[in-house]
Amino acid sequence: MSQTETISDKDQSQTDEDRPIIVKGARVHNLKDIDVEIPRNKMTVVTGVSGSGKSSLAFDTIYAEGQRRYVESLSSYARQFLERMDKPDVDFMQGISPAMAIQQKTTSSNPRSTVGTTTEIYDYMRLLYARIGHTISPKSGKEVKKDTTKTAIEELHNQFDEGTKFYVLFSIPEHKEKRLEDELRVLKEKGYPRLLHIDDESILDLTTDDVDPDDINPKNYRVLVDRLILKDDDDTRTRIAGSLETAFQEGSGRCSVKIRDGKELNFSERFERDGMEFTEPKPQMFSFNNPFGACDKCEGFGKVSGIDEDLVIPDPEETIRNGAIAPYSGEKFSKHLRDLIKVSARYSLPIDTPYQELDDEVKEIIWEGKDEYIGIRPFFEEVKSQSYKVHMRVFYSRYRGYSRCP
Amino acid sequence: MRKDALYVKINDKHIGEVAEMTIGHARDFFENLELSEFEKEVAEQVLFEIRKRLKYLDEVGLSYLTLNRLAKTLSGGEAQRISLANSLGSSLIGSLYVLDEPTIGLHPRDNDRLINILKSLRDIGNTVLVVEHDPEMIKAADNIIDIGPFAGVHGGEVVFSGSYDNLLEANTLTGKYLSGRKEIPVPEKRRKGSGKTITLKGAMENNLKSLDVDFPLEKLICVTGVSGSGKSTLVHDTLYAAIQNQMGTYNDEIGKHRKVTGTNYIDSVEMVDQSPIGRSSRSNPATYTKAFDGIRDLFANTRQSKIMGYEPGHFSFNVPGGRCEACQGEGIQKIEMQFMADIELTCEECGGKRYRKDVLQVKYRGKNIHDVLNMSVSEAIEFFVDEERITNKLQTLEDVGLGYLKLGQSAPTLSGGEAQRVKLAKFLSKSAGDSTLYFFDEPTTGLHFEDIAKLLDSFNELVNNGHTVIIIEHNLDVIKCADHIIDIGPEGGFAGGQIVATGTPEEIAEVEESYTGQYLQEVL
Repeated sequence: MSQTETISDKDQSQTDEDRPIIVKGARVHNLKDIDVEIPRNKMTVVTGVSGSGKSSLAFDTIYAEGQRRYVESLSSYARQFLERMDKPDVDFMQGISPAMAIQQKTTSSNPRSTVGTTTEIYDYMRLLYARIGHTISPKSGKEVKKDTTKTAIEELHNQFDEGTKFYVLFSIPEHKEKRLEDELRVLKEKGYPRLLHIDDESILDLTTDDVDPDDINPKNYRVLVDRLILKDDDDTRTRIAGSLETAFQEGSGRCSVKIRDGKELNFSERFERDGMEFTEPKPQMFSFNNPFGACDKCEGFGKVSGIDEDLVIPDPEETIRNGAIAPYSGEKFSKHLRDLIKVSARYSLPIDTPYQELDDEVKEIIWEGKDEYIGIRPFFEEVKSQSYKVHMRVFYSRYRGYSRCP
Repeated sequence: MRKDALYVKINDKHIGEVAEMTIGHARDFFENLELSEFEKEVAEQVLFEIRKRLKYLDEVGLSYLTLNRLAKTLSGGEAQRISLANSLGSSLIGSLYVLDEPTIGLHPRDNDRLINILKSLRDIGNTVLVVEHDPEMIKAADNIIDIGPFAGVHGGEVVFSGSYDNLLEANTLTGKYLSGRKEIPVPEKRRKGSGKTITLKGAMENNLKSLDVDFPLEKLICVTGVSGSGKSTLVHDTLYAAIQNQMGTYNDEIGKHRKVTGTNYIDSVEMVDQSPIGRSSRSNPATYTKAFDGIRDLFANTRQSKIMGYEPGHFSFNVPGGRCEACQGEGIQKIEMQFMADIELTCEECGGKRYRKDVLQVKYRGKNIHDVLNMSVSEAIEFFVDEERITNKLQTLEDVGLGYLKLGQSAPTLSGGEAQRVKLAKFLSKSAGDSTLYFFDEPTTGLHFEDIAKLLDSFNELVNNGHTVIIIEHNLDVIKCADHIIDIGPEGGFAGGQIVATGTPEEIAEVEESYTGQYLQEVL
């Protein structure tokens, strides 16, 4: 004991930097009361023949003690969730830092865990996509954007010169249970009595003109909010903004601007383009572990089980006649092969050509069937339907595989 | 991934496309993103984190992995290197990192990169402790602790501690091998083999580029290549699975290939991998190699046993009779603690001796059956010296370098490398005769030079007995001793999957494009 004290006294005087990790009297497993000193901030290799006690020293002594001391420092509440650790059989150990073991273990057997998720790269990617990703419409290949009054005004200034006259409009609201007559009445009560015909720009006034609702095709008319002239001064800007805002509000997120004797521009506060509504990117949307983001079919697994084409046609260089289709090679199902040959003769299909050189049309017949020939896919459907029989189940499982989720 | 999530793109790529990239490609992608000023500000932090992580993953030699590669399909070494990259990313300082043989499964080319990473971990202010056999790693260390001199009870002492230069002078096994005073010799002659081959045609699973490969029989064949080049896919998933399938043994998935010929020249195939030899704590090296049967007979034939009427069965701890019934012969009792970890206590009844008191009275040369189970293999060989039936089986364990194992050590406590060698020992003890094709996946994992030398002897014995051995290996000492090398590459992942060279080690060393060849040149 006196020896240990002198060591610690001596070390107190040294700076942290060069105070080594000292192990004295380690007897874990087969270690024979050994003393070791490991210099700090250096790379130390422990070597020796297998079974000599390298791991006993590195893991079961030094790492275990580091881990144990760390756990001891936690509150008793936290400790109850951790495994109780035994003190390694050592006389004295000093200078242990918080220890981290990097072992050769596959850390998780979770089928959803990937390289991207374990390294957290994927989490950051989700965030990145949610923040700066551009939603591209699959129809036009153009970006989907949300319009605001501000972007709408900018758009107008970009496209048109000052002094351009235009109308701020929104579509006639359509509710399921309401008739057009009622809709028009509500509009009138709200203070939007004027309708603009989209083509000839004639204005109908619901208060003064006598309108028969049946004559109005709501597709051709818009509700007029304001008539304005484009100018780049604060007053006009405020007025345009106000009108657009009203139009957005009344048109439940959508409005349009019609240039006098010109085209109509559509704006939407919703996230949509080309008539499709898109979901605004959120980090959860990109997670295949979250029902919000996962594919409906494979639940984010990326693979679906089904018949594996490579198992059915194990050697694409074989011809049909020589048994390229493996499930037909057995005695029991050779009937289907004979059917196929009959059908092939009728339509003069090339059954002596290697499978891989066949046209897609011929493959289609092979897979989907024609006349009395059943086809591989319907054949397996039939097999599947008889899966209460053990041999059918075994047969089916021979050709089952995971294929990529469509 | 749902559809609308895929409409969201950055630089024309949706998140699914990015996830399919390899780490190397993804790194390029994120380094070269073109963003507007506004986006740059928003993304700066996030991009920094992504780039940093990708950089470390690339540096630990994993650039061939795709981001959506499932974690459970990673090899142990790959998983270890990912967690290494993660720790680098966390940039903690003042900690102690303890690593368990990080070079396992790495081609020599990747070793240098790994060493640099460990050095950078040290340089930012951490202490690094590595358990390792790799000469390069030992050379790079600031301080070396050599434990030995031998295994098990003959080890456990510090035989050397100090710098690399001093180790070279030191009179330890490691020192002798490193300084070249002792070495695994390059065989003078390569075996000719039987002239017959097994031929695999059109292998195209994963990254394999429709390979046609010949495996000459009755030779020691080494399949080499950098990590991720497709070695395991070729040998494990395709050749082994296909042969098994032809032999009619059930196998679930077979790698894509056109055909395999020549399987009629062999009688059986055996895969000797690092999976545990049994989850049961009742299995141990003695029972696995069947040496225990002989030992039990021996005890049953002692005079004492005959007086008491004991049969061999009384000396088994797996059937009722002679075993302690309180712990059913396990020597420990497990107490389940509900939500806490199970507690293992030494059995009170037998005091951990696994047998009934009266059975323990039976002694053979002064030792009872429990004492025998506590012997190491080496000790047991000396102890049973006249009993050939037992020593024959135990000798094979000794030959594969497992002399230090205790006969009664339960199977789940064996390391992967140990389990593999116990299996190997079992095959070695089998009588020769049929021609068997053996597969080994990195058998030198976790082995010291001395152990590798022993292992090579075992391989040579197998081949000399008319068997064929196919090894996937990175260790140059094994590669240089092979009769035939198949080098896959040139790089990992998509840039691999081709045959770079085949032939004897001397022929491979001539091939400039082969990384393995370059390293072979140095050792031949």
